[in-house]
Amino acid sequence: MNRMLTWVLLLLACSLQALAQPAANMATGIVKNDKGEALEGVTVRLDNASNAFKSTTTTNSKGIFSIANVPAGSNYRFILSSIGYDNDTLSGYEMKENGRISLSVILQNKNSALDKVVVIGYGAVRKKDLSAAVAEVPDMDQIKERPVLDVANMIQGKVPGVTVVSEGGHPDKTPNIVIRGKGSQGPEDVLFVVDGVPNAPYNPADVVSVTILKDAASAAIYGAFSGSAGVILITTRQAQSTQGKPSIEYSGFVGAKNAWRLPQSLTAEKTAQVANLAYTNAGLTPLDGWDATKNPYDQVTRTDWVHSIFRTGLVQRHNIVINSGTEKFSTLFAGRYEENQGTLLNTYSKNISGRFNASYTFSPKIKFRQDVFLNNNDNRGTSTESGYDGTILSAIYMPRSATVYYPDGTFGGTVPRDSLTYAGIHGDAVNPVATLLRNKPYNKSTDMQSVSELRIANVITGLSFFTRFSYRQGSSLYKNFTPKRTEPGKPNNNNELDYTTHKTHSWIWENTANYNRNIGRHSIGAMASTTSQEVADMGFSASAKTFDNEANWAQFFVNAGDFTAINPNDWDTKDRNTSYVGRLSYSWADRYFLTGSYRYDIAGRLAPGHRGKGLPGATAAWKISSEPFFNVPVVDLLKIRASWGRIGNLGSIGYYYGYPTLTSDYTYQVGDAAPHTPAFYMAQATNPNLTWETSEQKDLGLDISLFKERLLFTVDYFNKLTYDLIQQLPNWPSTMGLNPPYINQGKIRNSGIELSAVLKGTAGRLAYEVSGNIATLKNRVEYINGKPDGYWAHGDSWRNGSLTPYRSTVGQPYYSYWLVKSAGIFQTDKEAQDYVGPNGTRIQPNAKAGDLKFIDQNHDGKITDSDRVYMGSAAPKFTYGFTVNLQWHRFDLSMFLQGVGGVKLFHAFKESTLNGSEQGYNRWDKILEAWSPTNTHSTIPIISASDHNNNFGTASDWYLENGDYLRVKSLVIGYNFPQLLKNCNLRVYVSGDNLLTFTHYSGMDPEVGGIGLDGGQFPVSRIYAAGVKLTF
Amino acid sequence: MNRTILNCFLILSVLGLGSCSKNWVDTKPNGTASSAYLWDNEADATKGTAALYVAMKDEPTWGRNLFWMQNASDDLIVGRPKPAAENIKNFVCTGNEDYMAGGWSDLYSMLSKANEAVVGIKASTSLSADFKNRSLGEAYFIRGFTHFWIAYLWGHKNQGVPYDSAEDAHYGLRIAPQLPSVTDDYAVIAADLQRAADLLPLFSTYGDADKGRAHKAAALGYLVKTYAYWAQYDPTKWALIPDLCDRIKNECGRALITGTASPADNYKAVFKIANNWSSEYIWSVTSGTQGGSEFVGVVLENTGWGLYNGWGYFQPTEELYDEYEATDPRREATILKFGDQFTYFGQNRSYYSTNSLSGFQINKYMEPYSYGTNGDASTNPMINQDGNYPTTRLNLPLMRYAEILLFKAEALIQQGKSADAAAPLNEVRARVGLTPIASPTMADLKHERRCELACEWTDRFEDLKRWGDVATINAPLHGRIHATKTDPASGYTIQEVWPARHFDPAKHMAWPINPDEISLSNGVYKQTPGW
Repeated sequence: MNRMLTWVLLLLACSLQALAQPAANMATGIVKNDKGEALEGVTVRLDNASNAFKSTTTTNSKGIFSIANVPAGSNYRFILSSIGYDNDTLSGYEMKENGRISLSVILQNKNSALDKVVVIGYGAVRKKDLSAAVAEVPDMDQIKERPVLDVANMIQGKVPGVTVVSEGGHPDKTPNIVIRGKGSQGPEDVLFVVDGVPNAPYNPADVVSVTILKDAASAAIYGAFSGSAGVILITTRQAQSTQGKPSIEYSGFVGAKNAWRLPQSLTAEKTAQVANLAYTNAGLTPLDGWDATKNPYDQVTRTDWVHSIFRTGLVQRHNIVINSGTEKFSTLFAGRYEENQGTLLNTYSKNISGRFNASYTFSPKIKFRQDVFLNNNDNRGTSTESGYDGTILSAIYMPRSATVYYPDGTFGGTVPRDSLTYAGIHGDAVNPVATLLRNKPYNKSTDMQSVSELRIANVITGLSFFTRFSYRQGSSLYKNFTPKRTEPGKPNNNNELDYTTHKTHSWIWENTANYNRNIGRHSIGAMASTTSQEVADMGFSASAKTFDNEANWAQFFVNAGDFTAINPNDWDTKDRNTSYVGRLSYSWADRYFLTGSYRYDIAGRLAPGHRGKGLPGATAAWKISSEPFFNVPVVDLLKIRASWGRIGNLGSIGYYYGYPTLTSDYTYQVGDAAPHTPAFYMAQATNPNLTWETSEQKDLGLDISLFKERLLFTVDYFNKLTYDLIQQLPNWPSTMGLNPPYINQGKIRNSGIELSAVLKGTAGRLAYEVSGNIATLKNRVEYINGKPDGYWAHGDSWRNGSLTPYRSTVGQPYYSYWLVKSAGIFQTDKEAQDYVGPNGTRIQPNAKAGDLKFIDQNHDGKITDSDRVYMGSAAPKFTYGFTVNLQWHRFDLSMFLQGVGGVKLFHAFKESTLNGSEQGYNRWDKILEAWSPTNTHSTIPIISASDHNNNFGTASDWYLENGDYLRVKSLVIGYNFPQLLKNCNLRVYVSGDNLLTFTHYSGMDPEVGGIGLDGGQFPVSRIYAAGVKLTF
Repeated sequence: MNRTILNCFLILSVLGLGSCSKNWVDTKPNGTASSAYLWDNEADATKGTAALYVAMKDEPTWGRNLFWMQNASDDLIVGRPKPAAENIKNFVCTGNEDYMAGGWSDLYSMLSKANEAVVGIKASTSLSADFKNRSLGEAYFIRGFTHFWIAYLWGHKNQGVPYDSAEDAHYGLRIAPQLPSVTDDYAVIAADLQRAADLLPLFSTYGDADKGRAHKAAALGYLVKTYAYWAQYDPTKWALIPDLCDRIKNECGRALITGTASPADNYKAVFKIANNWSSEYIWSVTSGTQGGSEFVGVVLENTGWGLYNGWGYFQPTEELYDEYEATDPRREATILKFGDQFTYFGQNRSYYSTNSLSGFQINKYMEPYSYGTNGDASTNPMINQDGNYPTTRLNLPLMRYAEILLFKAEALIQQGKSADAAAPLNEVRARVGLTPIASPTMADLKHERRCELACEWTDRFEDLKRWGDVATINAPLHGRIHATKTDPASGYTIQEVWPARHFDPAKHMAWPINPDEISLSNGVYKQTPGW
């Protein structure tokens, strides 16, 4: 039939050409559905209010219509209608005397929400026939107008069960996505599959749809490479026929962003007061340097460090798409430039990309698609994590008597260079403006990807086949010159030049056969596929030290004095995997749906004999609304779904695990003058029997559609058990002398309920769509080593082990806080003395008035680790989103609210900035609210240079804060201009992101990311933007 | 035509499937050698033995952290507010202070490398006899040396420290058990050091490239120290010491530095870069401008008067200052006090400190900072320019010949041979111009040991424990509080800078083990008795 269609189209093209002259004053056209099939019997009405012309006709079996004798005039309007399809109105056509109008129309399936085809792994299925928990991200049009530049940000809060948490406001980092809870100790990156190709690069502005395979049954088809977390399928725009007439679309936005809720440090005078108070309260003589009469310099405030490091960041994207083609050959070009400046000085990420996409139709059976994508990334970040010289922490640490620059224009240190007498009162604080501005690395990478795909339809009836080869090549060059830091504070008189360059490649070759037949009321499908893939990385790094001249032109190896301090390094790795995939599906009478899939993966990184793993999946659905007995007119769809499946994960295992290699290290011990001497040893015990980590998931779901799809509900319950966790052997004290081996042991369960609902309708000229979603997530460690008190120690700490707040144990969430409970502040010395254990001795022997009271949980009369209790985790217990889309005349408005609940954050920033015993650093001005005999209602312990009671050195719940928030995440207001010029459409909009945040968290922003350890995280910022979309 | 294309692709696909066999995924690693080949030839084995010394450059070992426990003596105070360090000095630590726990785990990783090397080198058949003997000797030495540090810090009379030797069948298959007593550890250590002494060459045979490797005198020296510490539980061990000391002198050619312009110069010469490898050298952390021990920078004035990143820890006490005889030149060589002159990056400077809590600074390691010009640290070729890792060209002495002489003297006094003890003790006194003592007592020995070795890594706190001088440990400590801390000539009052402590010999004879280690051991380990 396809072949016939082609001939018809060809004939039509010829005939239209031929008819052009004789058939004057005629309107003709062809109407098809979105699969390209001609539609017969479509009612076509042509009218014109200005000359009162009216005519109606229907399309023939080839989908063609024609209306003759149309008088000359402008503002003709076509209205097309057909049962089962949405009406379409095309207006603004002009008929010239002896002229003609010809058009090609594609009618969209009516009820498109449910009849829409959803992309799933290795195939597609109508949404109403889905039997797995697969969610399509809603509101993509609105989302793409938000001033955010990556897909993770776009989907945050949009799909229940998909937890997206920003890693702060770093422009060079994208948010972390967790689908249905974390189950692995290793990385659980979701797998992005772009137009069928795993891990392909893409332009987010090109994204048409995003589908999330939430349950294991749907993700199992990607087996091991679904990363145990789930799969996100991205469909991008493809070249389409434009009847030979190119279309050009420009879309872009420009926005400004600002950080808010910033902390402030003490003024110079207050710094001195607090330092003196700290010494006095500790029974020490205050330092001379803080005596205003002896050292007046340090009493004068000269700099607002916090506001010196922040700026208004610019965010912008410009995207141009040119599409042109015929039914036989079509091309698409997409070009993009985007820049995302961080709100901290000199931080940014930039992308420039070009894409060329072509589609060839050799015959109705044979199609070839070629896609080439080229992207260049340039980024510059900063570290805010360090408890010693994190950028934001440094802005608090620096004395405000110091200046950003010395009079000679060089960066300023804690004190003037020529006035070092009292330099010792300041700690080793680093000028954060210098940290940001000195950081000028060249850090560019280029990604090139080619995808070639040949599809052959109807090899025999119902059988199609495709082969796809995708090749990705990346190269990056990093060059960084670290100048000397000579200003007082934390000087480093070394300078250093570092280069790293990589060349990476990966290729994937897939061969897939699909068979689909409808026989009577039976619908049968089968799919078989093989995949081979290779990932390789080759590169080297080199460094040199001791440059006499630091000028830009001199930052080259030829000027280095020392090449031996840092050895060059090189590597060449290659990892290969092979997979076999199969799926069978069956449905009967649109009532019962069954699928079963199986994937067998062979991973080269494991030891021989342990490489292969089979991962099955199965789904079933019952569409009750299709049963003959079901006759409830308001219910359009009622469907129950169930699924079960397994996916694997090898994310925590390095390449070549099966071949243990020596670790390279060095010593300075051997040889006069301590030369750098290479050393090799086994750093980790090995376990040759290591194999796949597996996650098994059950899902039960319900889909309901009411009132002709004006109200839609989807509910899911899931239960996911990750087992055979890959982890380091937990009972392995450091007396073993080398790192513990990896083993397969442990279980983590995630379960939850997800609900989403959409209400659509119109009220007069107002069209509205209101949608909301909410998901709960219960995360529990289920098995560690068979012992009830087994635990996983997590070494994550603040300031090199000063505070180590995390531990996992059975029955608690993974990465729980494990803390000593506090019970306020001792108001008097007597109260502290009276706090005694069962044997009458003091529980906190060094405590005095103003110190924290800790709970002796095990009643042994002292505060030790045995008193620690588990106190929740940073993973949200529930997440929710709420969207309102309104359309009125040519205006539209979209508002999106997003929030999380049950989040606990560890505000470690307080340890460094509210602590009187961290000597020499400036502090957060909130320390002025600390407890004192005259300010007894404070929750901040007394300011003291001595922390004998371990107020700050104890990992206690004093640091733990509620991290729940509700954000007005996005607001977009748009206006669509009436046709400006012929075939020219213009849309303008303004938008705001993160407009309001409601939270009790005392840090800058509750979205700190990671495990919830906040040491002054780069805050997520507020963005205002305006954009346009112009099509012609 | 369609059919032809179709067939071509079907055939290609089938070929594609064929190539995806199980072997196709079996890529082999590049670059680093596999563990199987480490001891196969001398070049690789050299890199294998280099691994023995990796931890010597680290902050948790002899860079700083193990010294927090020596800081519990009466010679030094913390120097800057530092809660974990103060808790260690006050015996209110828990064991999981990073300063203690990090040293423990670094020492065990060093011990593990030595154990691996012992079995690897023994089994190797392709190494020359000399090379094999030296390498095996190095492995035994590092095993004994590392084990010694763990044992004396955390080992108790009634509970030794965890240890399995690689020759034991259980090695690597179980969590190494705590030995019954620290004396069992000392027996194992002594055997390792004895084997090392038998295998290792003399230091004099090493060229510049091999200096810093284990050598015979180092093995014998630590054997002396092991017996001396063991003797507190078993006095018969004293008898083994004098002969070993004589072998270090006669067989290994170790001797005090003498014969310079003055007695004071004799002593100062010991802590000069030029004498890193002098006759007095027994064992030290080889250091240079890239790395080594950062201890020298750790004790320098905090922020180095604005010119270099000194860290300002470990300040001497008035008690130490007062211990010296008035004519003892070692006092000023060891301790900087207000007004003392020194050269700093080429400039003369008079000492003052706005930072020191006792008004003193350790002076022993200041020679590397004298180089350079105009007070500019970047002109100094003898220091690491990285203030985060302030190493210098001065090696950090861990044991020098003077300590051997003092152990010999102590062993003889303990055996009642005080007259014989006079010779080694007076050799130490004579080189700094002090009058001899005819028949030294333990009091004389304690005085001499304190003055000669003050502010070095010889562990006075351990000495006080083994001598049972509890009152000395617990006495409050004093410093000089100057009226104007920026004026080198400023007057001062002597004030208490560290209150009296509560060292209890029933509780505190050995340091507590990190409680995390105990819980990770699944019941195999018990906390140090008393804690």
